Amino acid sequence: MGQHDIEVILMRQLAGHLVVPVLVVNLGMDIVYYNEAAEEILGLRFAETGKLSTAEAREHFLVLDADGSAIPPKAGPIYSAMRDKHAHTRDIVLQRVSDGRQQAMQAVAFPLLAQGDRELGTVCMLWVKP
Amino acid sequence: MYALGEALKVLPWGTRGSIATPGPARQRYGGNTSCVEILGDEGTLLVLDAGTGVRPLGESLPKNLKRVDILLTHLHMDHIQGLGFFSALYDPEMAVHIWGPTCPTQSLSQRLTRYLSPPLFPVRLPDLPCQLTLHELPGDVTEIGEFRVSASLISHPGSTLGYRIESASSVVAYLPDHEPALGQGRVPDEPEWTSGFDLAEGADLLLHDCQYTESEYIDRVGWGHSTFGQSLDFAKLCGVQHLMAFHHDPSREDDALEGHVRDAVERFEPSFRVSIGAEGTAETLRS
Ligand SMILES: [Zn+2]
Ligand SMILES: [Zn+2]
Repeated sequence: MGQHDIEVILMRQLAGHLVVPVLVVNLGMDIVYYNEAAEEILGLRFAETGKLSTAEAREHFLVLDADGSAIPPKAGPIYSAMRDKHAHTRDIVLQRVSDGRQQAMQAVAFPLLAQGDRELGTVCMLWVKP
Repeated sequence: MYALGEALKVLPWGTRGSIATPGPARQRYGGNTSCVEILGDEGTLLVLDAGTGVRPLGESLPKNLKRVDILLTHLHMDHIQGLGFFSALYDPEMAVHIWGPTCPTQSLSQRLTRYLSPPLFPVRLPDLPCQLTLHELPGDVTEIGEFRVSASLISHPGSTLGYRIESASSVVAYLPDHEPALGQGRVPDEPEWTSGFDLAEGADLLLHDCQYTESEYIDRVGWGHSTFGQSLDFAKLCGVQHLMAFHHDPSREDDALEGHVRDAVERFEPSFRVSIGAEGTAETLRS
């Protein structure tokens, strides 16, 4: 047992075909999937890491504000979208821990709200700032 | 016919997908659309889908039956077309429970009434003489008589459920319209990322969509159905004991159906039993 809901599975399949970096996050704030475009940004391979908890993710990359200060997970757009059942967006800087590389991005998060009043998590798309 | 002591009887009354296809070239496996009777040894009777096969099933109901549960996977016509011709709906003494997928805009009753009302059908669903109760799924695991019934949404256009039916000794999984390979062209080899896995895991009998050949599938990606090969992969991943090919394409004559299944089985060499769902051919699962 422990199969993902069909909406999460279909979201992964769609994300797997997109060129925009996409993270699929469950209600526990674990990143259950990230696509190839996100692998590039994060410097990770999903096939190697599998699911990432918040703590595990922090070992690999940091989410910063434009001024360089860390954004706590509960202040970020992913958690906010889940909490408010509404889309959230925020300009962030993603910093890889391995090489310190920084990338300015716009994070757009929306909750996965399914039929039967089921809340399944959040999808976060990352748009590279020009 | 309904001897006590049988653990669980699974009797297909319709195995065809999409549209009923009567005729001599489809006599061995049948032309009626999806409908399967599940009968437990305590007399609980479940009807999986109400395609055209549900009409003859209605003629064979045990005389003393007081309750019947119809488990609809979804509301495509091939799964509900026989509903208005099911005799139990016209019996004032009969408690009929219809279970089906939820939808954010209309109740199950409203959606079924779109078909079961004039001009498409002379009688409105709410006006049927039986004692009718409707239930929307997915939800918690439900106890129906001696069965535990689980339902989950699966990969098929529109809200579509698959079912897992557990008795004390046996598990039957029913996913007649299912495309677990959608978006990848193949069934994933990771259980947690495979539509329908939880429903079918370890089932004694899996009735699964086998509508297409490999070459047909190429032009029908996203239509919500599987090839024989994909179904074999899915059955293997789920560790089932027996795969029953189901939802036969309306174009498939009996000889061709046997040939396609035989070819797929030869290529795949499954370690589990494979059969072709045939109208009127029962499977009895014993502990
Ligand atoms: Zn169908
Ligand atoms: Zn269908």
